[in-house]
Amino acid sequence: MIRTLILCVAGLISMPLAAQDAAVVARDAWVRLPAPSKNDTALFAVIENHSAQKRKIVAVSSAEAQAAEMHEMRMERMMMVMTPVKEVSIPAHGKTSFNPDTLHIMLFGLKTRPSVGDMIEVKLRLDDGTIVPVTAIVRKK
Amino acid sequence: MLRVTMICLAILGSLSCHRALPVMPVGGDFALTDDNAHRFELASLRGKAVLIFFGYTSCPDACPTTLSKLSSVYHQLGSDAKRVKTLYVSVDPQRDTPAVLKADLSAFDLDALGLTGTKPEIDKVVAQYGAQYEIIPTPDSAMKYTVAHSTTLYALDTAGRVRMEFPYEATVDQITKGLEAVLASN
Repeated sequence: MIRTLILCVAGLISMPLAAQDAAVVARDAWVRLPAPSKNDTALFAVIENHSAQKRKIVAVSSAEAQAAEMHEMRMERMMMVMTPVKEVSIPAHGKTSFNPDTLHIMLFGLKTRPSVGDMIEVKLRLDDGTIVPVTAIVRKK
Repeated sequence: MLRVTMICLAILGSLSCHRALPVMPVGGDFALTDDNAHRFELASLRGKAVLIFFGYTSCPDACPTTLSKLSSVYHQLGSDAKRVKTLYVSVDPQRDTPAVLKADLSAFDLDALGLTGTKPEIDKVVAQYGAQYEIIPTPDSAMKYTVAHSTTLYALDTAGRVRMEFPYEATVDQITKGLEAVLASN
């Protein structure tokens, strides 16, 4: 009984420590409120890599959407071009920002229509198999 | 490069001498279908300054960013806001029906009308204004295709002539000051 109690306490203490030790974390995540006729929208966030190895995001998913993809925005031949990308690098001891006009995570077919202030959960899968959770708040802009 | 220089000079020039605003060598009247599914003619807006830009409602980034920016411009214009009409011309008529344009524009706080039409009609207006767009198939994406498009914002005077072109990076303040110059121009 005492051993079980000790193990439980150790587990509870280790959980926040494990979160702090995560090599790659997401912060400042937000989702644009979908347009009235759409069930699709874009998610933006800053992905920080606290490790000494470059990492890549190789897949994104969300239980709250039918599909999720990473897209890159760039000006090309005087036009704004949006292109799906298969992977996004995060430099060692650095960060990659998914910001308007650069990168975003596109969520297709949201299963319920969100309101401003709701939270949407997304998962990023890295090239080493790590899953990075992202919790994004829905905003108008 | 020459065009960007002209745009910058037009913005800078407007801050000091409203009457010297050049008439840009693009533009002209056109007819499309508005978001009430009615025939729309640009000439019907004589007496108002007009902002025109090209985009599509499935655009998750640049187009809502521009619309948000213009909402702030309208707020800054104050009593002059009622003298300005925004036209959002869709370059994705396959998806952007009048009803879709109307619904999506309603999310923004500005006096805007969505415009669509047949591909030849839209292509004619795109060419008149020196804009560009390209349908890019993306078969591996849930989106199926995206639309690359130019992001210039055109400001027309009350006589329907293009007097300023704002690049995508133009700030709310720059657009507001530019519009005030257009409204005051001869």
